Parts: sequence; structure tokens; C-alpha cells
Amino acid sequence: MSNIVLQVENLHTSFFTRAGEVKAIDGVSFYVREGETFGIVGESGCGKSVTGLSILRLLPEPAGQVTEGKIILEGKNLLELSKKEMRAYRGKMISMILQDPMTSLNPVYTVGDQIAESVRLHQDLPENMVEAEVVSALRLLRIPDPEMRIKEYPFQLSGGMRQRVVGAIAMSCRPRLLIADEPTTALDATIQAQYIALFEDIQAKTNVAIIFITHDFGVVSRICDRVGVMYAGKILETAPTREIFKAPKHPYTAALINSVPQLDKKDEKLFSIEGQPPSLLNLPPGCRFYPRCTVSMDICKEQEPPEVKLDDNHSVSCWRVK
Amino acid sequence: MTRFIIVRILQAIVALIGIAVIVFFLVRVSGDPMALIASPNMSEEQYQKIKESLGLDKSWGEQFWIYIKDMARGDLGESLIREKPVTTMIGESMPNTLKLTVPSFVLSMILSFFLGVMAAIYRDSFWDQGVKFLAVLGQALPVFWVAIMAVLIFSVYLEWLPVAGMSTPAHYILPVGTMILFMLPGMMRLVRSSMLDVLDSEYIKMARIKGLPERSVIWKHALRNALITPLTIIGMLLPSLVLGAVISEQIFNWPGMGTMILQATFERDFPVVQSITMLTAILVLGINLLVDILYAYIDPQIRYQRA
Amino acid sequence: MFGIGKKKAYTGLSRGTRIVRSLTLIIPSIVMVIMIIIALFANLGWIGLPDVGLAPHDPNSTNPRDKLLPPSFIEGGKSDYFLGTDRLGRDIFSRVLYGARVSLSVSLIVILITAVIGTILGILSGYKGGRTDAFIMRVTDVALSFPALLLAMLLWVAIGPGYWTVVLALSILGWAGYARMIRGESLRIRESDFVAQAQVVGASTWRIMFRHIFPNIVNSLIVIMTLQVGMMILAEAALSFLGLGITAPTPSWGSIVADGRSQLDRAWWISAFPGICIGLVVMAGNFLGDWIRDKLDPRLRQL
Repeated sequence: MSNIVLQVENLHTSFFTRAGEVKAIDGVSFYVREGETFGIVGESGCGKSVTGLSILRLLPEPAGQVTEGKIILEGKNLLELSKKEMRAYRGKMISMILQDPMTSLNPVYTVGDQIAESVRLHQDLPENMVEAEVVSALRLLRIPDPEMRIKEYPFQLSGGMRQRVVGAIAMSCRPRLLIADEPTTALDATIQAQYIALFEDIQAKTNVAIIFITHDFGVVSRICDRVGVMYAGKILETAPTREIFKAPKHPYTAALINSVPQLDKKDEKLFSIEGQPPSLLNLPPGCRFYPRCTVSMDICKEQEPPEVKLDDNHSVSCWRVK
Repeated sequence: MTRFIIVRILQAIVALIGIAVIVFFLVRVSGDPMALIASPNMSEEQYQKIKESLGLDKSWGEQFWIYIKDMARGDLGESLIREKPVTTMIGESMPNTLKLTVPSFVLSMILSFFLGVMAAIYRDSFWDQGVKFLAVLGQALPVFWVAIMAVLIFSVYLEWLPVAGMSTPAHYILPVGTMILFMLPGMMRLVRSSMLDVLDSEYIKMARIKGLPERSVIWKHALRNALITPLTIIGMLLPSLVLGAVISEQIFNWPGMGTMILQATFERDFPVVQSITMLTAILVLGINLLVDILYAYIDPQIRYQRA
Repeated sequence: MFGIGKKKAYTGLSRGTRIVRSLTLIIPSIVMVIMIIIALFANLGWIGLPDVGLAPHDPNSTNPRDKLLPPSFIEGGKSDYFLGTDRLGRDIFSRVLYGARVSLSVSLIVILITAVIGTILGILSGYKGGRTDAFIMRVTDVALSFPALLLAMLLWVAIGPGYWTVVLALSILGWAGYARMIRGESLRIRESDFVAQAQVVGASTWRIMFRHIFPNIVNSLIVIMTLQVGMMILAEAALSFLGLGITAPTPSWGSIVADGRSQLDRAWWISAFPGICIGLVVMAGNFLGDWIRDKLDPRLRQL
């Protein structure tokens, strides 16, 4: 087994609003290994993006704060770093790709400038080497004519190409961990497939650990090695992708998988989950999925289910799993 | 880029001719300019002489042609009351107006950008609340009244600042302050909201993800984008600048163009008013042209599209 | 439900904030209503009752024995003159009440005129696009950056002073703000399916503009109109202050402030009170405008 790059332990993140404390992340633990892709799947608002921003320590302050837990990157707890030390980690050790390629590049600077900025910041290179490094980052993302592209502005590029540039910025310093927050959601289906293939390629070349955040189980099956299913601030089930598809243990996981259209099961009716996720402002006691669960029991209403380890890689929090 | 500038200059010239036509005929359509000048005890002979000297005996078409020709040569005609060329009158009063408007404009810009950006960065802080309060007050209170109240307090009661004149730096404080009040609140508010929009954007998040220090995030990535919107409306500050100058000069007896044109208006000295209106039109078009070019420089998208 | 950095996460309002919010609606509304009542009922001469009204004195009747009296609540003031008198012994309170008429009526008329012109040109520009759009927008740019003050001076010279000179001076340039905003809105609506549908069934340009686009920009229009109340009152006041407004002896707030300038060292009250009135109405108008905008069309916020 290769090394663990990132270990998140019992992470709690809250937003302190005028209405009260919103527990966006309520005790999340997971790890990612070198060269592995860990998927975080869930409906919008379940806290998956907040998890990414918590790791980077870029929560909107002062409202958002990590209240408890550890985020250990290669032996260092990121939550104990000073602001300055944390900045040195960002872009160099951990990087992130945001969802919308149309807005995540600065419109007034060229592609080259925006990548070079990162290179200059984190790599102690003589100025004449910077451009070569920028070009190599563009090559890594398989952007054609990199020498030409560096002089172009974001508005001159297509959406798919922009998202590759965002990837090039993120990968320019060969980080150990890449957080991809719905990087393919805004792209067309064909471009999406290309982009996912690109991820595999990059991972093979750089051995980067990837956290892939998505709401789409279809995408998960194509790229993730292991998955955590997140619901209302908590990971309900973690397992290797193949296993989770074959035998989901949590009713929520099963429901999510059933809601993915599958080509080989044409006749089956597409499943959708009734109801809304609970308000994170005042979580009721008991299982947070209870109100929408179709197989709930009495105990589910009163007590929160503990995490049960089925084996080394598979754990689940549900009263039906013993 | 060059083509874009040339097209814009041509458009500006067409617009200028359009305005010249409107101004010229507005003064004439409304009545015989002679009626404005003639006094009842004027003899018929005098009347005809003045009419000829002003070229008012010719047809409108001819008059317009002469007017355009003269203007192109830099001859703006002669004041009816003062019997001086309008250019001389402008030459005499312009320096004083510039002494007032230039520092006011520069200070307003510096202050509004600084305060607006700071308010956006420290959103909802005490500082931000202060800026917002200032903007609300500044956009509601009539500036001429605030200026008069300032005179009442600082000159009449406290006797700290002089009421009128322009001999010492202290004489500049109230007039310049008055003009700043015309431009600052609106601009400050716009800079703040523009900066807030930019700070909320994804590329600012991306800049932070890169590990850039907050300094670069704000001054390199945010500011340039935040400047685009306020810059496009800098031309629209001209009305405030003119109104500010006239009111400030009027209140503090400042011998500038504002005082001059106001007096000319009350004396119905139409060549003066007409010429200054035309000069302002040229200024307006010139500023719009400049803003367009500046805008193209800051926003690469415009530069490329129109190149 | 909520995402990072999205404002929605912070919408939980405490009771205190809600009370403050509603006060920013109630107080400006009260101020506005009072000002409208004052403008209408300063005197009822306009419905044939010249002796009835809120104003205790004729605003123009001079009284040489009561010159420069301070307000009644200050030592030396007479109870007859609530806000004191000017150098001709005219009652400031009555003059301020009458002054509301000029300020409010001028701004109302100008807003109506400019809104109509601006809306037509804005829709035309946004819907037609192309050369029509380019031309209208160039003219709009010029109108937006041309000083209304100079136009007012030009008109003063050309057609002489008067109520309609002021209205004309503010209207000739005032439409441009509407045109620009309405154009933006129309541009957006032009792309919607119901407009395409109307085009397919062969509706005329004018029909599409007014039956299909106009109803969808009414909200924005109302917002802009409310926000213009304050601006127009300020503009009228500035013109009156400079002597370019309604001519004496008709009192207007701006001209009363100007009247008081020469007596500043002896009678501050002449200038002070009309200015406070202007500030109050304009602030009320702006707060109402902000409130209506937040309700009807929050997208206009940044503008």
C-alpha cells in the first residue's frame, strides 16, 4: 500500500450566522493515498465543498470556522500552521480546481501570467526558466500549442480549454493533493469524458492524491478508487467504488446509485429521493437521513447510528447494518 | 485598436456638429436674439448697426456657416455686454477654475477609490458602516446647503477659515471641500459595490488557492477588475464637476468660469453662454473618447473585439 | 441549501435587524406623505379656498416691523413665526411650506416626462439592436455626461426663466439614465422564448415592444423612477439656489437657502431650515427607492 497523503479526522466546521450555528460539517473522517482518487458524493449543500475549503483553510471568515478535528497532510496538522505557513502550502502542496471554468480565471490577465504567478511564488526558479515551467504545466494538461496559449486571455478560450488552464494552474507546482470541486459539472458530456481521462493521465504521471467532489455517481464510477457518501455534514458510508456499486449498505447510498441513469437497465424506473435534506441549524436527534429513509426503524428517530467497520475499507453508519 | 480610435473620433465629430446645430438653432428658434439685446431707448440706426456687427441680418444658413467657420478658427465671438472676445474672458477665468477643479477632482478620485476599496475589503466593519453612512448622507443633503452651513460654522462662528478670496491655502479648503462633496459619495459607493462583486468572484478564490498573499490577491487580482465599472462612468462625473464648480465659485466668490458664465446668463449674453456650451460639448465628447480608450486598455476583451 | 461564500448562508435575521429594516420603510414613507400633504395643503387656493391652508402667512407678504426674527423656540422669536423671518419680514415657515410645491411638482413632472422618453428609447435600443442601438446609446452617453446646468443656462438665455424652463432643462438630458437601464433589461428579455414566439406569429415590432417587453421591465422602471425623486429634487434645488430656477417671488427651497446667504451672520435660520427639508425628502426618496429595489428587482443593486 502506498503512503497516506491526507488524513482528515473528526472534522467539524460551522458557520456562525445571526440565526445561530450552522454545522456544515459534523465529524467527518477520511484519508487519501498517494496516486489514489477519493470521491466525496452528495447532494448540493451536504457540505462537500465546505470540506474542500476547510482543508485549504479558505472558509469565508469570520463566519465559517473549523471547530474541531485534525487535517493531517504528510504528517503535518494543517490546522496548527500559522497563516503564513498555510499560504506556503496552498498551491504548492495542495491545490484545488473550482467548478465554473468561465469565472475561475481572472479576465484581465493572460493564461501564461496566471500560471507563471504560481510558479514564481512557490518554485525558486530563475526568471528565464519560468516560461518553460508554464509550458510544461500546459503540456501536462494536454493543451495544444502551449507556447501560443500563454499569450491568450481567458475569454479567447472555450470552456473545456479554460478548465484545462485551471487544471494547469492547480498542477503547476506538482502538488501532493488536488481537490477537484465538481470540475466537470459545467462541461458538455464529451468534454467531460475527455477531462476525466485527463485526470487519470495526470495522476499516472505525478502520483498526485485527488479528492474528487461531485454530486454525480456516474462520474464517480469512472474516476474514483474509493468513495465517501456525504449527507447533511456527515459521511454515511465509505467504501471502494466497485464494492459500493455492487452492494451499497446505506439506504441513502443505494438511493443515490439508483438515481443514476444506466444504459443496461433501460426499463427500470429512475429512482428519486423524496423530501429535502434537514436544516443544519437545528439537527434533530437520531439519524439525519431518518425523515427521508424508506426503511427506517424506531431507533433511527432517537439515536444517531454509530460507524460500523465492515472491513478495513468499508464502513457505514446505519442501524440496519450490524 | 487604431481603427477603433479613428471610428470613435469620427463619431465624436459628427456628434459635435449635431450639438452645434441644436445649440445654434435653440438660441434662434426661441426668438430674435436682437430682442434680447435691444433696449427700448436704442435708436433704429444703433439697432441696425449691432444687428450687422453680429451678422444677424444674414440668413440662418449663412449665420450657421459663419458660426461654424469662426469656431473652427478658434473665434468664439464677442460678449454683448462686456465687448470683449469670449476667448479672452475664458482665458482670464479659466486658470482660477482649474485651480479649484483639478485638486478637487484628483482628491475626489483618490478618496473615493481608497475609501470604497477599504470599505469593500473590510466589509460590514465599523469602517464600512462609516463609509456607507457618509454615502447616504452625501447623496441626500444638498451640497450648496452643506457648504453654507460649513461657512456658518467655520467662518462665521469659529472664524477658522476665510469666507471668500483665494490668496492662501486656507482659502481653498471650503471651496475644494464643497466640490469634493459633489463627486465623492456616488463614486465611493460605486467603487465599493464593484469591489465587493469582484471579491466574491471565483477567480479571487482561485488566487487564494494558489497561495498568493492577501496583498497580491487584492491589489493585483481584484483591483484591476474592480476599476472597470467605475472607469466607464467617469465621463458621467462631468455634470457634477461643472455643477460643483459653479456652485462652489458662487458661494465663495471665486472669480472663475462658473461665476463668469452665471453672470453672462443673467445678462442674457448669448454668445458667451453659447460658446461655453459648445466648449463643454467638446469636453464631454473628448472625455468619453478618452474613457473608451482607457477602458479598452484595461479590459483585454474590449481591446481584442474592437481591434 | 447553502454553499460556501454565498450570501444565502447569512440570511437568518435577528428580530432587531427586522425592526430596523421595517423602520427604513416606515419612516421614509411618513416623511414623504407629510411632504406631499404640505405641498398640497400649504394653501387651498387651487381648489378655490385661498384663505384656508397650513401656511399661517402669505409667503410673500413683507412685514418691515418683523425683520430677521429668530424662530419662535429661540429667545427673541415671536410665536407667530415658527421658523423666524427673513430680511423683508416674510415668514420662513410659510415659505418653506410653499417651497415644497415647487420641489415636488417639478421633480414629479420631470420624472414622468423622462421616464416615458427613456423607456421608449431604451426598449427600442435593446430590442432593435444593431445600428439603432449603437446610435441611441451614443446619444445616451453624451446626454449622461452633459451638464444639465449648462443646458439650463442656455435655455434661460434662449427662452427666459420660468417653471417650464426648469422642467425642460432637466428633461432634455434626464431620459438618458432610464434609456440605458431599460435597454439592458430589454436586451435580456429579447432573448426569451415568449418574444421569439411573438415574432414567429408575426407580431409587429411595436406590439412586441409594448405588449411583451414593456410589462417585463415595469418593475425596473418603478425602481429607477423612485430613485430619481431625490436626484430631481436636488437638481431643482441647485438650479433655484443659483437663481436659475423658478423666479422670485415664488419661494422654492433652493432659492430660500440662497436668500439667507447674505444674512448668514445674523439669521442662520433662513438658510438652515429649507436645506434640512431638502435633505429629508431626498433621503426619504432614496430609502424608499432602495426598499422598492430590494423588493422588486435586486439585480439593479450594483447600479
